Amino acid sequence: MTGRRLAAAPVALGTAIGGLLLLPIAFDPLHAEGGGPLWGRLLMVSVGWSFFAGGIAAWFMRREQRTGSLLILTGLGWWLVLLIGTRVPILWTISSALEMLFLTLLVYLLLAFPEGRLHSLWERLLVALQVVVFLSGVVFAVFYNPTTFGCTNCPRGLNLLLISDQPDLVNQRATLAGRAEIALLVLLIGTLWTRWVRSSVPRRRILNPLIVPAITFSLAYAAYLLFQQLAGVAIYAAPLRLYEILITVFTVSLLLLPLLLVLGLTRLRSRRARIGDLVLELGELPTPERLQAALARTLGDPSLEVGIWVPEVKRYLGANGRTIVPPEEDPNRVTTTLERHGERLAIIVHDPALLDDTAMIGSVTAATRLAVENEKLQRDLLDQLVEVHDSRARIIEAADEERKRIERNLHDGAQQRLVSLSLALQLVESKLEGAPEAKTSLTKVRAELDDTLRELRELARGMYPAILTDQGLEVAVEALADRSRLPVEVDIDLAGDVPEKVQAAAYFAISEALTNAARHSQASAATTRVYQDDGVLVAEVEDDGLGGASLEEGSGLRGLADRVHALGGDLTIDSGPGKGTRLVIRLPCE
Amino acid sequence: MRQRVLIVDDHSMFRRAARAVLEADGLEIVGEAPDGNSALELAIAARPDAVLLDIQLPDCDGFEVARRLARLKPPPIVVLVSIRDAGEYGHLVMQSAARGFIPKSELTSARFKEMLSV
Repeated sequence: MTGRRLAAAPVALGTAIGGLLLLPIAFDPLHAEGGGPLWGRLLMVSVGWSFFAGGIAAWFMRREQRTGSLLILTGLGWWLVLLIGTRVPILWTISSALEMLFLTLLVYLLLAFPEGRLHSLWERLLVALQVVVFLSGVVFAVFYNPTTFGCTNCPRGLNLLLISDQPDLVNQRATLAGRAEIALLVLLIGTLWTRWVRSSVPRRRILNPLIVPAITFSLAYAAYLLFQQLAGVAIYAAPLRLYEILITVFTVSLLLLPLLLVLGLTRLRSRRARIGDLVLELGELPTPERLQAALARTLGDPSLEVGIWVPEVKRYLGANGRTIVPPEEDPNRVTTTLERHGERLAIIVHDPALLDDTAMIGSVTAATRLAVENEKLQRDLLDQLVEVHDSRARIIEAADEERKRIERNLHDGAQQRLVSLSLALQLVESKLEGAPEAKTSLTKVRAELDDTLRELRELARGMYPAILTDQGLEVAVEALADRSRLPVEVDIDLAGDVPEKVQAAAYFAISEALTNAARHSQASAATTRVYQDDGVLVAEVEDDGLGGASLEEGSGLRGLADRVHALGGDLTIDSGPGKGTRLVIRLPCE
Repeated sequence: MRQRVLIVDDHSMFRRAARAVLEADGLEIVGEAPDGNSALELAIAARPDAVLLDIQLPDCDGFEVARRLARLKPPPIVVLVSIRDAGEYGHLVMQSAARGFIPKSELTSARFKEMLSV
């Protein structure tokens, strides 16, 4: 399209100059001697410039090249009409033969607005009829001698196409053509009016600038032709005043027409821009209410309803949870269904007038589809996230249950048996007073057994703190503090219920932190606080050691952080080098 | 006079072994109980001088039983035992009504008697 834009400049320049050259040509719109007033001639030429200006303006709007080209061609057609004032034979011949070209192009332009294409078979018929009238004028040029029709300053041979001077034929054709033209203009008015009435509100805004000048021109010109018919074809004998007024009226409406056409095009563009905004706006997660409001506003149909298909209830749900059903037997409502790969997505119930702009409906349904799918995607993602979150928590709980089970098994099984065994050996040992060697051996065996028991105890405790289950977090944390090498200050304040998995997470956190403080960071003391804050359990451990703890992969803190996150909590660690370590975990108690 | 002892533990193997060890050292075992409630019934019925009490019991924990035993008149001497060591129970051992605590792996009749005579 840029090539055409580049071509626009010289064409525009050329035609402007051409228009200027027309001025000194002794044109006379009424073919009367002496010409009309200067303002009249300027008005006439200005119509051409108006069409050119409008055409170029339309050309520079993206996507309006068709209307732009039509306007420019129509402007050329107008100047061809004005050329009739010339007495140069070739120019006059072209002007006379192609006299109706302007009107033909104008009719096409008006009917095809704003898309630049005809909308229906009816419109095509009207244009075809107009073309027939135009062609008849071209054909009958061979019979037209202007001198016969009263032109006093027309030289012989002015009409180069003249073959045979047949004034009667010319008159008959002119009469028929005139009547056909009047009928055409009336039908044109009717068609434009009907189209306006049937249009949706936003479309009317685009057509409004066109309607008034188009209808004014058509009425004035039709009246002009009518009077020609009534006064006979010898227009030179008709009352001048009436013709002057009619000509002025339709000339002024022609002057305004291209400018108002361009105004209509800018409205079309702004509506397309609003569709673009709609797409952006709907990009954010829309509720049915917002979607409906946005569509109703953009399409100018306040009664528009949108329903989004919800598979769980097998219905279309609209604003405020209302069920939307496609209305049957209602001439004022029509349903547009949106599907994706055969699956129902949404429906829009709206004014049938919206269907007239198929391009717009296409954009809107695409935008709505995008928005609805986006919302579905987001909902699915959220559901998946929740599922993943829940399953993580379940995995943690399952692992803890397993460990508890192992600890209990150890306690009730191996540990009990070994302890009993140790006692039994004690008994045997007491009976071996007379066999010191045997007794010594047995003592060694018992020592081994005791070591085994000790290891098993460590193992069992590492599995799961049974005391947490039996006695609760407070006792368990105090036990941790007592066992620690460091002096640990304990401050526990638990008011409400805390689920066991949360207690376990807090216990493990404090255990890990105290172990790190005692073993790695060379601390001399530590404090731990556990309290509840609005349904959230908070556990803090602070030591005065070297700091430098981190959440690296593989560290005990990393595993702890994973556990805490799986339960929906968070863990923060504040461990600047040389500044000690402060670990804080927060866990929701639901 | 022989000291009369009640053994409370839910593991029969341990009860048998403990009984054998204590009896070999001259203590009289007046009864064995597998849980807290039967322990209290037996304690009321048999009036032992001392109770060897496991902390892990199926119906209530040893600390609770010790509390209730302490209300008997006269209260028996209660020695808590467990497979786990005292450190795992935090302050509960110190705060309990029992005379003391012996980890099961360190249980000897000598140590038991020691605790009774303190």
